[in-house]
Amino acid sequence: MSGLLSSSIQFVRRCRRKLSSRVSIAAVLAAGVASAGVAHGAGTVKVGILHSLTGTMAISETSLHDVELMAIHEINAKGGVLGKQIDPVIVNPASNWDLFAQDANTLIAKDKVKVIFGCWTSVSRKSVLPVVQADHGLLIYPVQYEGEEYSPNIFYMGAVPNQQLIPSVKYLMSKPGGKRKRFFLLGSDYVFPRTANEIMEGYLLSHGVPKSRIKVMYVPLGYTDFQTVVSKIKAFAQAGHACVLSTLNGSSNVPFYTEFANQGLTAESCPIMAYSIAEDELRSMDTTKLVGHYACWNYFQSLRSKTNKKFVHDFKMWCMSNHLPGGMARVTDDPIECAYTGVYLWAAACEKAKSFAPMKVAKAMIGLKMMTPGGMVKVAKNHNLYKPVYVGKILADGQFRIVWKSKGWVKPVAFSPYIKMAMKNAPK
Amino acid sequence: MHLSDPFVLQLDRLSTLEADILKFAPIIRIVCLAGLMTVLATKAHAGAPTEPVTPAQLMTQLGSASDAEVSAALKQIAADGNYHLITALQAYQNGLLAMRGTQLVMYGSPVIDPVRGKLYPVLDAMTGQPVMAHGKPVLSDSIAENTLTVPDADSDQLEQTINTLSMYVPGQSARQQAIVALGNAGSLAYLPPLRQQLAQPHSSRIHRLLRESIARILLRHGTPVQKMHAAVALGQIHSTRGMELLKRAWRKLRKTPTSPMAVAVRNSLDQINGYTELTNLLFDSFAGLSLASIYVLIALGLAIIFGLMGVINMAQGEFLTIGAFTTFGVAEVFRTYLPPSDYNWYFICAIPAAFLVSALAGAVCEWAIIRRLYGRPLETLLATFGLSLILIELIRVVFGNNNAIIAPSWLSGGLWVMPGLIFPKNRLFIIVFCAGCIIAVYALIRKTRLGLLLRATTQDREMAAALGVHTRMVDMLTFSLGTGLAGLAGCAVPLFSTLDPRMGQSYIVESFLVVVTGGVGNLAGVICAGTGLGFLEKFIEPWVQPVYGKVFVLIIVIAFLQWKPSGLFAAKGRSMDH
Amino acid sequence: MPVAVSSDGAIPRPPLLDPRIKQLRIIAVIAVVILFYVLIPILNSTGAVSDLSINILGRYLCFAIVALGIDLVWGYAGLLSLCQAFFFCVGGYAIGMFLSLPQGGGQVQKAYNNIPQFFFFNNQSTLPDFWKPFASLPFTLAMGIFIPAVVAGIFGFFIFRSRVRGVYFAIITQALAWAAYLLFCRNELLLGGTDGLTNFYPPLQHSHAWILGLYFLTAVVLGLLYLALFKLTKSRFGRILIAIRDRELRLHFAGYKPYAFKVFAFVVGAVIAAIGGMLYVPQNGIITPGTMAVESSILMVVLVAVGGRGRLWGAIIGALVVRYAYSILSSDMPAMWSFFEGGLFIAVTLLFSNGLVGLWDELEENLRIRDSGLQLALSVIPLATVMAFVLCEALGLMPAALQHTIATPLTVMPEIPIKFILLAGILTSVAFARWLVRFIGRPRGSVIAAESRPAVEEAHA
Repeated sequence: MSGLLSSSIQFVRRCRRKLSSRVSIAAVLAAGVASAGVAHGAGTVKVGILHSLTGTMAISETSLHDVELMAIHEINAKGGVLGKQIDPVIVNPASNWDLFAQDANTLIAKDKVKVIFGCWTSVSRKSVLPVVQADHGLLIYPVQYEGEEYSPNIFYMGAVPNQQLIPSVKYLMSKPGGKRKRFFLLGSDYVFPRTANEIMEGYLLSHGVPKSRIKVMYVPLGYTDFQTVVSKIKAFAQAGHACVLSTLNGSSNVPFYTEFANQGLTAESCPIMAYSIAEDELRSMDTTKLVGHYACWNYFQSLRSKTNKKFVHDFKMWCMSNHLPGGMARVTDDPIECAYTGVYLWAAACEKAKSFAPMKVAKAMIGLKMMTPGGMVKVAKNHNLYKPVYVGKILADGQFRIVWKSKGWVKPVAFSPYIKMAMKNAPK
Repeated sequence: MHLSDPFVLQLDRLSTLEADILKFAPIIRIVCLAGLMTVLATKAHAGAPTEPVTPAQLMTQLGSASDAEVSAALKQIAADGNYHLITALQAYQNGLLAMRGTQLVMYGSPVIDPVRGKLYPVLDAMTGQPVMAHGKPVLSDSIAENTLTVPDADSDQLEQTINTLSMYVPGQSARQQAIVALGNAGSLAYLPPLRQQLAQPHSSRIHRLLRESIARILLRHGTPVQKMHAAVALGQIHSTRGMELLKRAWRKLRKTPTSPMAVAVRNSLDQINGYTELTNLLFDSFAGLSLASIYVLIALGLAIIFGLMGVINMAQGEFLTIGAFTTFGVAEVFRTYLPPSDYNWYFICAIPAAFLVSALAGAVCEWAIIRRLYGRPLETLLATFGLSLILIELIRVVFGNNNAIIAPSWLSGGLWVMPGLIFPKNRLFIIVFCAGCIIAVYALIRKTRLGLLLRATTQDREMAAALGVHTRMVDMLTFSLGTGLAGLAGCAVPLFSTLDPRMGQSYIVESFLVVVTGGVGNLAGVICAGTGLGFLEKFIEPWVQPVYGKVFVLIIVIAFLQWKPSGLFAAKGRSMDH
Repeated sequence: MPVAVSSDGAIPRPPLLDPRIKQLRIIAVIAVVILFYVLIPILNSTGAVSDLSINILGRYLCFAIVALGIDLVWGYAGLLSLCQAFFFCVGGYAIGMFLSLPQGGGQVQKAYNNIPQFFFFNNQSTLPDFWKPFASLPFTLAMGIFIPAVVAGIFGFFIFRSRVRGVYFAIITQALAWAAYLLFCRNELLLGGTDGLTNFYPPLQHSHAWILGLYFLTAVVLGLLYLALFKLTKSRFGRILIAIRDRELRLHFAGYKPYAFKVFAFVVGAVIAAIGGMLYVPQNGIITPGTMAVESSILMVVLVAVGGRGRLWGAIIGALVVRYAYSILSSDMPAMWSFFEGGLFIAVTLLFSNGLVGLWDELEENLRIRDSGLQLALSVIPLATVMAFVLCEALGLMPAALQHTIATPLTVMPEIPIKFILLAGILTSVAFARWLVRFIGRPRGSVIAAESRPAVEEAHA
């Protein structure tokens, strides 16, 4: 494929919201299946890819869109699903929540896609939920989320709270984690941190941490002036054995870690456990300020398994050969791995169901097992995945050193008992 | 308070006593340690004068022996105070220590090789030097599976050993952290090394930390008398770290508030609280001042533009972004073309560069758009808003979303002011930088010919034109000056905030509020209003969640405008002719 | 809808209308009324126009409603309010609260005590008291109007009383919008935080009857509001507003209290925005604080600027054109949208400050002075092209041949659909022809251009 052709195709993929004409769909497909040299037309099955390629969420979601296309390309190269080539229909809701529902509707009703891979934020998922339920579609959601949701039409590839939050808190309370006794729960003000903090608070309270040693605080999304917040943390951490459980999102992280270091707090005296920072975010951060702090995920690029090494290598090669920004310097992380897994799980479920019909595929999904870059996973009845959990320490090169991993996989509990507990204690 | 004096004396006596005792340091140390150590360690000590175990032998013991031997070896290492072993011990803790034949090695932080990918250098555990083979340093593809694992029973001991050794590391900050960590750990085992350190000559800060950590340990585990002394000592040195322990002690003593111990604890708590309030006040003032500096830096340019030309420049934030990305560009140039040692100085070069680039961009925009809209302030608002959209997208297309500036090392970290109070250097820099900019702008306006023309044009454009002032040129220069100032602000903002194409947007509304409150066209007003709003926000913020501070500020501004509709200092400029 | 606009008070016009113009206006009004109230519903019922298109058109008509309010406040009274999106959202949130509750058909679950789920993320297991009355539709509707009216009234009273005006007013309203946005993002407010309110009654966006019904309701409300505002602006009150815009000081000297009129106009604008919001949310299915961000308000202002301010029907046309431009461009060339949007702001202030209304005026003027066919064509073609383009896109009737794309070497715009090339081609050639005609020296043409509506210029220019 000539460089010019592939670069123009890449722009097609990056810049279109709705591929309104058949011509461009074919062009995209050409990018996907060029090496396989398979003709398309009657023998294809359409799938939707619903990620923001512009706007505030583009920084995170573009990578998912990239890896999903890569997975589709790989599957197509191996002969497709049920003998059919996968034909991705890409839409760009442009970080606008209103557009997510509208685009999902268009994908299912107009383009007749069999499955949608997409969404990142909880609000986008929640606005797509009624659409896929009404239209009997299927959504594969690739990001860790707050749980408290079940839809027969959605499969959740990311962690539920007990697969990310609880193990990490356990780790911090353990000996290797430094026997932390005081917890500062800092989050951006939206649904995931709110729920996450409620669950963690419930867990801590039920494990003997008194309320006085837990502090919860929220800052607006995109907040950057952390002077007062960090000085509060500092006062809180004075008694020792403190840690921060951070669900800060996006651009708030750089100023937070900078202020944290500059006010004299260190990863030794008060480590930060982050739930929204992964390798892809670290690419755009000055990591010198983050070294030694923690993150907890179900996948790290530094996992040493063969499957993962191949995945990381393939992804870098895919980004380079398609002239995606970053090229070989691109990294993989948990949501990227989940998005990748999502496509493969769907393909496997189609093979198992011998059908593309969304509801049949959904039935076939349950109980499916698969070796993924992050380890062995299994689809649970509640549409989440059994998966292993890892805690990593940030290194100067933006990668993680894994300091703890779960024994085998952790069962997903979508409806957290700690939320129910908090509900009972809630003011009425 | 009245009770505390005798205790002070007693405590002083205690410390001198300690000091006296510790003059016999070597012997006492051995005795103290011996009392705490296991049989094996005691054995080692008994034989110490004749047959010292070398550090290398001790370290090798970690790999080969049983749990008990590991523990003993760790204790001996701690007692020896050989801080060179810390790296190796940390490697041990992290599972990076391994036996390579008979040699004890550790894996260093990985290096990226273009062909082989990530490689771990193999280092000698004792010296930290690379292990050589065939004249080349050995690099390993992966971390060997046979790394030494810390026995579960000994992980505490390992932690203690590392902590104790850290105290011996030369260099203030490492030592301080170690001392605090020992105090946090709160184990009696740390008391002897801490006391031994207290006897050495140290800076007052270290001395204070040592006393604090000793007191914290004693307050937990000491005899009743020691506990009392510790409580008093914590109060004397205003130890915020001891607060939690004191509070806990107070909770137990609340029923007997008149007992000497209770009184001591209460007094100490009062002392610490008073001190904390002072440091909080100082820190809030500092935070307010630094926020104010940012507001003033951005609003200064806005005010000049608005005051002279009646132009509402909604794109001012984007000129800030241009300045920030210029800084980024300069940093990249330094990183790519100059040796790493010079990297720190990129910031000095970036300041004029940011000013010039933003000023130039401003001049172009003025020529293309703004000068066609003079006298229509509301339309300039719309047009410059459009301009800001275009600039954001343009910056995004050119630089992309993922960028980071590494602050120069002389601007990271904090400046220690007094116990419990650290001023981050980047914030300090911004305050100084802002003051410098204010002085420069004042000098420019008051002392130079351009300033004279600028003032003349602001006061009476027609008259100035009639007297031969090239007002169009003055307009352009003023607009450039205003946007250049935004560029300077853009130089400073990434030091503590993010670098992304939309960064300018987060300051624009506040800056406008500052200009409106200050009174248009008056720099003194802008400075007062910026300072006022910054302080207000930072003094409200500790009491409420972050957003509400900003909402309060808005309400106060509206209330203020009731009283002074044209701001603090009403200008007499052309734009006010109504 | 463009009922005859013989005079809005700003421009001295000939007392007697040219019959040709009268005819033109009557035709235009009838055409528009038939199109929106008869033709589109029929096309929808026959299936030629999809429900999705109707749903989108309905939503954009809500923006047209807001634009009407902005035109009153800005176009007539000269107050550039940058917080209309906030009022829009207040109305939207009110109706959103009703729709979230089981009484309004909201999808609640028994496991969550039959109240919206987000409460549980905020430690709240029962419905807060301030939510309870919103289970009644009449109360909700009343509140949706009452709250913005009160907020605008109090805010306007303090602002106008202290004689904050011009750009100061714009900045303060912007700060209000920003503070409100930050507040609504807080979850403690129990309004869903950043995620807003959703999970409404599903048929609202899925069943044909509901979609068409809501569209029709929106169109009728728009029509009624237009008529009401038309009356209002033609009245004495409207003239005072224009006087405030053009020479407030003189009005003051004449014994009026301008601030009372300003507060009233501001309140009316806010209420109209809220009505727009109340109609928007059921059709949109979600309301989030993002809709009231600082930029949204400015984007609403530009709807009016493009249509041409000081003329009510201009606001409506502008709203539809810009919203569709947004929808089309952000879907077909997302990377270009921001550039186009920014360019639109600059162009509308720099090049055609009269907006689309200006083109219509020119057409009428040409008719009046019985200009040549060429001149007539030069004003009709751009207007007609834009309208036809928007209509085709809106109703999904764009010929497939024009949907194809052509690759370009530009990085931000790797491919352009043929329809855009065609549109840009027509508009550029018309612009060039107009320039040529003027250049060759048609005195009457240039006179018209110079004359056109000087009154919209800022009073203190």
